[in-house]
Amino acid sequence: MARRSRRFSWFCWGFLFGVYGGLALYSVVSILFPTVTTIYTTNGSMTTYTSPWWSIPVAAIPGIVLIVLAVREVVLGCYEAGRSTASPARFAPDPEGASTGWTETVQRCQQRVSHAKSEVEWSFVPLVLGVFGYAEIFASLVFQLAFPSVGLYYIILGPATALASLILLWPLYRRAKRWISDYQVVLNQQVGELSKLEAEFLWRFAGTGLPA
Amino acid sequence: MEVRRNGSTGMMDRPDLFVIGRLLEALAPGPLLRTQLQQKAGLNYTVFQRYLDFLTRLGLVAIRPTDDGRVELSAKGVDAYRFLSEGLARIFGLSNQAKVGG
Repeated sequence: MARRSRRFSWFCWGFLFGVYGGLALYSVVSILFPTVTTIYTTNGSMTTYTSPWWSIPVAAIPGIVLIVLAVREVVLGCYEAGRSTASPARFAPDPEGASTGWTETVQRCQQRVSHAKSEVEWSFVPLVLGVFGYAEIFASLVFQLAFPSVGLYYIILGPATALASLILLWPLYRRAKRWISDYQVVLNQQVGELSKLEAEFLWRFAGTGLPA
Repeated sequence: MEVRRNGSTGMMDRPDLFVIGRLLEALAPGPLLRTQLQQKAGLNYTVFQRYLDFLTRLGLVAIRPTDDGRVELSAKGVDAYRFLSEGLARIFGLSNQAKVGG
C-alpha cells in the first residue's frame, strides 16, 4: 500500500503559499523580463510591455504540484478508510499497528480521530484562499488576453470571479463543517464511554467511585 | 499524566485506565520481573511504583516472593484485564484481542 504523510493540511498550506508565491514570481518576471511589442502605424508607434509566455507555467507550477499532492492525500486517505467517514471502523488500527498491544492500539485510534479533526480544521482556510487566488489569476490572464482595458477587470471580472469561487466552495465548506462535527461526536462519545468504563472499573475492582 | 494521591489511604484519586490496561496487558502472557514490567508498560520508576502499589492493594497483581519477586496477575487481575479489554474494544469498535496466558 502506498504510504502517505497523513498531513493533508500541510499540503493545503503549501498550496496557498505556492499560489501567492507564484503570483509574486509572475510579477517579478513581468518586471525583469518583459516582452516588448512595438506596433508601427502611420501616426507613429505604440510599444506595449507584457509578460513572457513562459512566466505563466512557471508561476502556476508550485501551486499545481502542491494541490496535486494534497488531492493525493485525500484519495489515499479515502482508499485506506473505505467508505465511512466518522465511524469507529474508520479509525480502526492499520496493519502497521497490528503487532502492538491493544491499549496502544486503542490510544492510536483516539489519536487518529483527533488528528483527522484537526486536519480538516487546518486545511480548509488555505484551500479556500488558494483556490480563490488561482481563480483570480486565471480570470485576470483571460481578461488581459480578451480585453485591453484593465479598469473593467476590477469593476466586473474580479468581483464576479470572487463570487463564483465562494459559491463553488460553499458545498466544500458545508462538507468540512459536517466532518468536523462528526469527528467531534466520535470524540465526545469516546470520552464519555471511557469515563463510564473508568467509573465501572473502579467500582467493580477498587470498591470506589470516581470524583465527579 | 497526572497522578494524585489521597494522603490518608495512599490510593490514587484518578488512575489512568490506559496505564492500568498496559500493566495488566504486559502481565497477561505470564509473570514478569519489575524492571521488565516497567519497561513493557513504558512508565518511569516513580509512576510505575505508584501503580504497582495501587494494583497490589486492589489485589489485581501479586508479587511472588520465591521467584525473584516476579509480578503476576491474580485471578481478580485476569477478570479486570478482561473487563478492560472488552470495554475498550467495545468503545473503539475493535475485535477483542485480549489473551491471558501463563
